[in-house]
Amino acid sequence: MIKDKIGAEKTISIYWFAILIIVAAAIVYMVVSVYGQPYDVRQIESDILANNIAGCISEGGYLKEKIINDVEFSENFLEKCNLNFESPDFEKSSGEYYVSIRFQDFNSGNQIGAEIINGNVNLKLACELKGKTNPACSSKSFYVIDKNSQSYRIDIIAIVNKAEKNI
Amino acid sequence: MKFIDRKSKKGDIIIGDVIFLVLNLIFLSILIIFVISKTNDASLLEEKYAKEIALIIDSAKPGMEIHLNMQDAIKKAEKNNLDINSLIEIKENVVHVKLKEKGDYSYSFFNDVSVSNPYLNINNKEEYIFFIEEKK
Repeated sequence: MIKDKIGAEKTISIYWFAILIIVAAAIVYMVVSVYGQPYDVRQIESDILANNIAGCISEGGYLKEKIINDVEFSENFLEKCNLNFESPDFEKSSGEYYVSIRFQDFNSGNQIGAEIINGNVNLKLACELKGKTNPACSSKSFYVIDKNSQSYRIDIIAIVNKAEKNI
Repeated sequence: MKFIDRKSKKGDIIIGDVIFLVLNLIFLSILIIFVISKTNDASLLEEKYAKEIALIIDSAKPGMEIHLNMQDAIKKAEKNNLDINSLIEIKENVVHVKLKEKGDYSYSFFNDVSVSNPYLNINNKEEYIFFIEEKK
């Protein structure tokens, strides 16, 4: 009787350790998959970038002066909007950011002036694809009026890649 | 004779149980140590704070004064015998956070502003302060 009991307990202990190993493996897998990957902050970063650009071209719902069709603004866009797209921590990078701003007449929907584009254009193509390795894209559209009460719709696209440090 | 046999078998069961319990405890302790070491890893904190600071700078405007609580990072740096006054460094547009002896973590920000070198708050030794200024 006692012998049978010892045998049964040994069998239970083998199963118990098997369960423990399975549970431990699951916990290790979960911990490694959560903490083994970098924090992906690119979506927040691209949202901030889009907001910063919106704040740069408009103030209190009004379009700032010398923005649309202004060669100086589009040529010195980064400087005018206090942006620096240099990324010294990405040595082999050909550009980790991309931004585009499009101005439209709010009533007719026609594009006004030239689109302002800056950064790595290749990122825009990758942005249209789906997948975790693709760059983070943010688009923002809003309504503004100028000092002559002409209304505009502004579309901003901001893209951040930085895949090396976020995936 | 029969009585002695039964007693020895009972003894075997108790020793077996003790070994079983000890092995279980060792196993669980290793698992808990692994989870704690992974969650409190210095490189993980370096990454977290470098990215957090970069995002704060990105969304900040000139004239702002930022107070950042870094209690866990400071504790980790003290444990690793590092000078807690120089855990964060901002060079050009890159934030560097160092919480262990070898290496650091860096992350760049796009907001073209001048950031004062972060320093430890005298009144609250768990807090770093830095100022955002317009670039000259």
